[in-house]
Amino acid sequence: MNERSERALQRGYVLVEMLVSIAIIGALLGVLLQFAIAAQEAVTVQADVADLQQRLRVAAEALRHDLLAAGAGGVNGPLADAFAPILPARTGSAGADPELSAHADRISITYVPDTRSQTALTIGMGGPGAPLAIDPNAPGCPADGSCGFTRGDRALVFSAGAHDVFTVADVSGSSATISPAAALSHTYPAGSRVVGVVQRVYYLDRPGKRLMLYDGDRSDLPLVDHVVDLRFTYYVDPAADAVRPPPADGSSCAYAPGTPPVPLLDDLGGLAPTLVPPSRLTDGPVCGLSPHRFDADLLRVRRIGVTVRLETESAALRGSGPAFLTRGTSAGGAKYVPDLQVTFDVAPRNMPAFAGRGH
Amino acid sequence: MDRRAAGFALVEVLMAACLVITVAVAVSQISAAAVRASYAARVRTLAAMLAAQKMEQLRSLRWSRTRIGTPAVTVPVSDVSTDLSSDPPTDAGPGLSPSPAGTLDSNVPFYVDYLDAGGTWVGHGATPPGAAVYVRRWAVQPLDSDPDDILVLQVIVTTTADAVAHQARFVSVLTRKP
Repeated sequence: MNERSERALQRGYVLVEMLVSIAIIGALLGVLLQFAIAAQEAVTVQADVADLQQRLRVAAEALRHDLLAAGAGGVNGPLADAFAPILPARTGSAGADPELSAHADRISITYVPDTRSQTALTIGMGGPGAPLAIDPNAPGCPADGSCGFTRGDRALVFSAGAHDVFTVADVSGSSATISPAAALSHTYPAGSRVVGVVQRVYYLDRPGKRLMLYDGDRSDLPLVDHVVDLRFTYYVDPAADAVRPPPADGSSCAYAPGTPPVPLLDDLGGLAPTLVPPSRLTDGPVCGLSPHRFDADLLRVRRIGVTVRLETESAALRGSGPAFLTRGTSAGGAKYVPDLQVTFDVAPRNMPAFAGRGH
Repeated sequence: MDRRAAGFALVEVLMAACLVITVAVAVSQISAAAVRASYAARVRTLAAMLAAQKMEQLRSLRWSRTRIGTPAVTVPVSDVSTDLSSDPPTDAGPGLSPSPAGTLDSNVPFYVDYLDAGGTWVGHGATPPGAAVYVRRWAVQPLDSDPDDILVLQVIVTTTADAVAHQARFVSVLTRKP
């Protein structure tokens, strides 16, 4: 009897104790869970935030690198004397925009890389699609009979206002000829310059939300995903005579004949590079020969403004409102990562500067 | 003996719970540190981009030579009138003329501008506006060995956004092209 009551007492005491401890543990777990949920959300979001920043850096670095080089590596003078190294449109052998078009979210950049493939035509072409007979012994050419050109290279040929960028389809070292993959727009005469170039076309695939990079030939690939906006702005030298003047008494696409030659470009006033709307990059005066004509204002571009906007990969981290270009499902809280937008400027180092208004 | 054992179990449970909580709080501190680090990375990235932006703006100003007259003589052409602290730039500033001393250490008008958390220009002058998060200062100094043709450009971006001071500093040399 005594033993039984003692056991009962003991059992009751254990039950109360258990309830108390369950209550305490429950309370503690509640607190713990709150920490855990917050930490878990933060950790999930951090991966996306880091990814967002990383993608921004990749996009900015790629664009900056190529814009800095635009027009570089001139042969017998800067590339800008032959054509516009920066164009606000898509160029290349596939899907090129028509000449004299301007798009805020597309840019074509051309420069001569560290190549020794710089030569000239020894005899005029037989026709627009004929092989180009090059001088394999031009100064600096490697001694391989074809001045270092190999199949698949992009090459630029230019002469007297006309130019073409083409892919080298075939090289013959024995006859010192290179064949273009497609017919050129002109039949180039002897003496035309032929140079290996790099062509880079950056554009926004708006439906696919991707920053695309096209090499002018066949490689047309996404560079960065979840890019929702891309804009290029152009700052030009405001002086009318900021483009290389023709020889005395001569004329060019930017100068009418006269002594001295009369600039055709508008004087935009001031000295600092001036922001121009895309319409000004297509309204003339026009340089080059069809089908590769371009606006003379592009020859006085001194600075490019680039605006890139990226969003998080996961729609769960995107909400609604001005911070998001594409609506997501986030209701706020920790899972809320606004679009990342930056604007940066690049002053291409190889766009030749001619002093304006000093004449 | 049984009773004591039961009492000890309660203390044990409480201690274990306390331990678990302590560990959990410590772990959540780690993720808080990760959040701070990724924010700091963003601030630094933006600061570097903003510094590069001003550097490119400085480098795009006219700093060349031209030939005038008959017979032709070559004279330097320099932009000494653009105010880069305004957005868009105006023609009422110092351009690439040598900056006074101390433009990198204090807010000297024409050599400082202010940007918000997203990197958008919000003002200039000696006093930062309320929205300013980034302070961008720059200096233009002729190189001692060739003061007429070579400039040393410096840009510093600091931020007040955080207790930890972030800074991006860019230095570049601008040479007059023929």
